[in-house]
Amino acid sequence: MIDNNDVMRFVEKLRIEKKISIHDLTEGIISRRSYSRFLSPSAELQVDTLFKLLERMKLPVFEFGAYVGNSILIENIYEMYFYEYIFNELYETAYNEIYPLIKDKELKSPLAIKSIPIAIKLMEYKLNKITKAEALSAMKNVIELNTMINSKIICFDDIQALSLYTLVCNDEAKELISDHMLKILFTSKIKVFTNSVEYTNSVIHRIALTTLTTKEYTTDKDRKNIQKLLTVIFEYQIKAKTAFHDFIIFNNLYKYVKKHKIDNKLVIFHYLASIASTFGSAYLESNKIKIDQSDIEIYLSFLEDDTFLKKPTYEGLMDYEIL
Amino acid sequence: MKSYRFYYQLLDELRIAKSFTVSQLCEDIISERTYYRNMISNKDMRFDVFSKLATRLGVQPFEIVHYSTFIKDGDPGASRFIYRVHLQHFSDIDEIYAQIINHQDDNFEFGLLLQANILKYHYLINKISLDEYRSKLSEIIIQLNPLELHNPYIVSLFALYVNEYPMNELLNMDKLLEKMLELNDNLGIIFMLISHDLLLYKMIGSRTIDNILFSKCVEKFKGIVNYFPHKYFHGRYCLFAAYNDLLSNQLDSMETNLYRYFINQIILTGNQQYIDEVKKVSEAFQIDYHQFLRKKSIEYFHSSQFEVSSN
Repeated sequence: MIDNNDVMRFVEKLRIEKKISIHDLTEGIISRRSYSRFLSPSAELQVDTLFKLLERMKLPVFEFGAYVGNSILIENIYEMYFYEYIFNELYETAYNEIYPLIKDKELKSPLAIKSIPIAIKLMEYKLNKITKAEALSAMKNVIELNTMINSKIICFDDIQALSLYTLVCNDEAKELISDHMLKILFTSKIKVFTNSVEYTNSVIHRIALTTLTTKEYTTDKDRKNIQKLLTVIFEYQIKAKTAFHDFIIFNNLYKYVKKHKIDNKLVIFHYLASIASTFGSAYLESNKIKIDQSDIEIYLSFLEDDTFLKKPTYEGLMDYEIL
Repeated sequence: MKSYRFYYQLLDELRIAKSFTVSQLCEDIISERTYYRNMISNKDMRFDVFSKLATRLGVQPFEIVHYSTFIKDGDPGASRFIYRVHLQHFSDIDEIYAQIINHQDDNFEFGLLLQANILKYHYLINKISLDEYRSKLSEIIIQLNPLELHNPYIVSLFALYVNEYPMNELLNMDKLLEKMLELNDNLGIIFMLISHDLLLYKMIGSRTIDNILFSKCVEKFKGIVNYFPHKYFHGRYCLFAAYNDLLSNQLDSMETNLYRYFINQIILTGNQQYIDEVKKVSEAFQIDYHQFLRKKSIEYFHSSQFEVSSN
């Protein structure tokens, strides 16, 4: 949890960076002595006092909030690394290299409340330290799926936690989750509470696609939803031009078209391109990827097609029904 | 400035949306009576109490501030507009442009940055000439103090200016980059990222490049990019790292980075922007683009990272 001390040390850091004296900052708001007291961990800081100090520094509250958020994120970056390692299914490495750095420490990143606790249970299960039933039971308590899907708002940490939960949950839970994600995407009934709208939307796309394409049995309804979802995903990626998680999206699609023997060369090209363009993914560096020689031929043929290369992002994928 | 009560009320809206009772939210933090009293009175509240209540609802206290500023109040999209102009990506720009064209920002320097980006956009869509853009940008820059370079918006404005006039007398490119190396990036991080990207790209193929400065800036860019999952910026990092490798004659690493950059370009860009970038980069690296792509693709997919079957 972000406490008084976190906030005041960032106020002090900014005061020094902006070369403002304590006198100039505090005059008419609080005494110099009170200011010094606020810098100690036990002091009680009033919200109104904080806002007045920020106003004196000509710093809007939202800018200060972003500054604190970024700084806390960087100070607690191992929590994010741990999450990423678990998401990339690198359980051994996460356990040996990162877990000791976050274990028994107060978690403070934006993933502290749900995602990291879920990641720990998932890791313990995958390393045979607890059973799948124990892991699922612990995860259910953290995630509170029924409460989450009945809520009119969903937060960033909820979404990232779901992203891990979908790696182990059963088809019944996948159905609930995919329905909820589609409800977020296609209705205005649920608000998404996040600092990073475009990134979070892409995580919602990823969860919806993963839950729909990895179910043991694919129904006609699922197939229609996948098609509908893909249009939204590609339109969104074109609009935001971020290609967030393109490897995960095309990895799911590649497996899906192979499993269902669907002839779609663009999916093959984009899957291989998403691998070749992915920067620093622990998953790609640690897992051998299986592809066919014919996939490489398809990839090369697209790279030799100048007309294709000059087309805007994903244009070909948007031209026709993909599946 | 919004009062803390505004955020407190927002916290209560979040409580209702998440179906928490007041009792569930307040348990072991404050009494229900105090919670209700805070809602209607002007009595100040302790930050740690606010933080504990927010955490129980699954969010951080400053996420509520961000949400109120950018989502609830209806963000006009000024930052998004600047991002789109930097990427020269205009597929949804009309809607954002309509929102920001008459937007008056409370922050003077941010207002100027938005104005400068509107001018750049007008130039990019041929509404004004390059000379006109440069002249109007110069009028904005005159209002700034180059000594105020701890402000990310002022840095961004100078980056736009230096991109047009690298050797200007006010603040040349090397001096601006040296200053940017010293700055704390946590304030206005996206604008720092855009500014580094703009200037590093300008340096590709330049004859007067300071190798050491370029190398330090690439490291700094990498440090910022690590916190952004935007593939565009990761691709650009690969380009800058490749050029750094070229300058230090590390050719294997250069080819790996350059290949990754080109594939990113193929995925993310298209049309004239793609053609222009490929031309500039191929010339700077003195390579045959198509030959390079084919050779590196075959090498890449036959590396030990892949298990290739003959099906």
